[in-house]
Amino acid sequence: MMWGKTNFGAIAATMSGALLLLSLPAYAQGGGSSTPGPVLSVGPRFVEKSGEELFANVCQGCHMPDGKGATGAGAYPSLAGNSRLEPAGYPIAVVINGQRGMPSFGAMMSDDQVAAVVNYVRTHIGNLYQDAVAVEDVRAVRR
Amino acid sequence: MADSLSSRAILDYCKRLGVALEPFIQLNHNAFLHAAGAFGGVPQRIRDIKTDFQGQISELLAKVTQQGRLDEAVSKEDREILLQALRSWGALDANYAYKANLISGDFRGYARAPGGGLGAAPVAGEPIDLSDILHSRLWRYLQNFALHTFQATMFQPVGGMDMIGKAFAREVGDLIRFDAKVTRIQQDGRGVTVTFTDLKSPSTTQQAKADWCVCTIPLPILSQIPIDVDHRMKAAIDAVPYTPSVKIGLQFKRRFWEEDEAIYGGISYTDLPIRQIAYPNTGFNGAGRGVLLGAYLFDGPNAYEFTSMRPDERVARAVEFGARLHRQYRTEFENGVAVAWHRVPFVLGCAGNWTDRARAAHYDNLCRIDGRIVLAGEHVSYIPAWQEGAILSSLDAITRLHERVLQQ
Repeated sequence: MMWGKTNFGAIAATMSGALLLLSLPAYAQGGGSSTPGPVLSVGPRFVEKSGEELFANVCQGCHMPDGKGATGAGAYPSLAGNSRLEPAGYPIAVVINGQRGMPSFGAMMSDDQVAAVVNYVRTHIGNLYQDAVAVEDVRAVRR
Repeated sequence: MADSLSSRAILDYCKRLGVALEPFIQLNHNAFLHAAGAFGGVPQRIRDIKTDFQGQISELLAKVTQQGRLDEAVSKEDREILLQALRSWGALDANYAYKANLISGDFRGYARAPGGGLGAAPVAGEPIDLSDILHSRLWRYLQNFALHTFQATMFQPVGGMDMIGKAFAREVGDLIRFDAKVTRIQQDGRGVTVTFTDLKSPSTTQQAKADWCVCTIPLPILSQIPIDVDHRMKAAIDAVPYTPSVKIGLQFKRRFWEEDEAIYGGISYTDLPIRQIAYPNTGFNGAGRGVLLGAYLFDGPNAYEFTSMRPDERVARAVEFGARLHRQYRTEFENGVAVAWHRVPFVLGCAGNWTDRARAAHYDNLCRIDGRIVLAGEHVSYIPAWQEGAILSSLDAITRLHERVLQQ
């Protein structure tokens, strides 16, 4: 288990080296591989572009495929029909900066990606907020 | 999966509790380094990359030393010793060159290894060109074998990491209450009250009272529980998200990495999303099935992407990527399991992901004794993700608590 050892530190320390490395766009499905599956990122930033892809490859890791969260010793909040998403600045800030147990994604997503995933969540899984987020809105929160 | 020799506290507990240890192999020279875009995707032996890299750097350094271009930095007397050292360290020939010969062969191995009987003379192998090594970036994995935390000797408990937890439970089992979900932590001048529900009868809440509380609840959970601490400790509890991580175990019909490729334990590294393949450090040369660690992701986009997959998808992708290092995956794979730490309900992540900024602002406040409450765990240490960090933090917490109690 991780709690025991791990190469955690070792590879984390080489991460910056990894940035220099690859010009490959992504580990796409196909390309000779037999297993279909989601596109995977190369390097320290996500390659997914659409809100739907970002939700499926990032958010649902914790908020679950239906967006309804999960409960154990603690809980992952449900994003479904969530009134806290109404002021768009709130989900933008949480995605960029993180909040308590939620990691920050500001360094791993561009302004376009943050806008795309926020717009997706605010118009799906039981949310019907019509005021789409623009890249400028994300930029304003980043400052 | 292992404790470094620098983990003196965990080794001490293993000794006291009778937890048997065996070596954990971090560096196996015969394991692979692999980059998807280098050497036509063919994995290289760690031995070859390490020796050829070191040899050719030594040759370059010897060259400039002989040209007198290090004269300002190296005295005349030291220069001769430096040349001797480079020749020894880099496997250089009498002319300070690193070449395909039996001198380098003693370090990098041979195209044909020395054997017995007729025609058994060794044949030197051709070194990998320095430029190819540089462009491959495979050199960056060599630090995994040099960093202090990963230096030999490393250990793993016989039977798995949880042998340590089980040994503790054997000693203090009557003090452990399972299935207790903490919902509130209160304190006043006289003591601490913890409210919880028994998950086997969740309709009724219960309370436990004590004079003091050492709280080891992971921060993603603790940050959701109402707790009577001052705003500084509360801000610290809220300031540390946990690192994403995924491990994938794969079972194969046979130990092909040993039988076909002479890899006995250790770790192969790759720039594919699986990052590494770690071979079992036990049961060497056994017939029949074998299990290896087929992926170990942490930090960064891939760890989140694999967390977001179904377990069977994670296993399938690990097999697909691993087959680029070991073609035998395609025919020998049987079954696999995957764990994503963000999906583990009692921790919600792998380990405290401290940034320098968060540590400067919050770490001391997380460690402080707040009234009658003190926190402990790997998240309250400078070595997150290691059991050593958890133990050192707990020893520090109870030492300070003891002093506080004696002062009263």
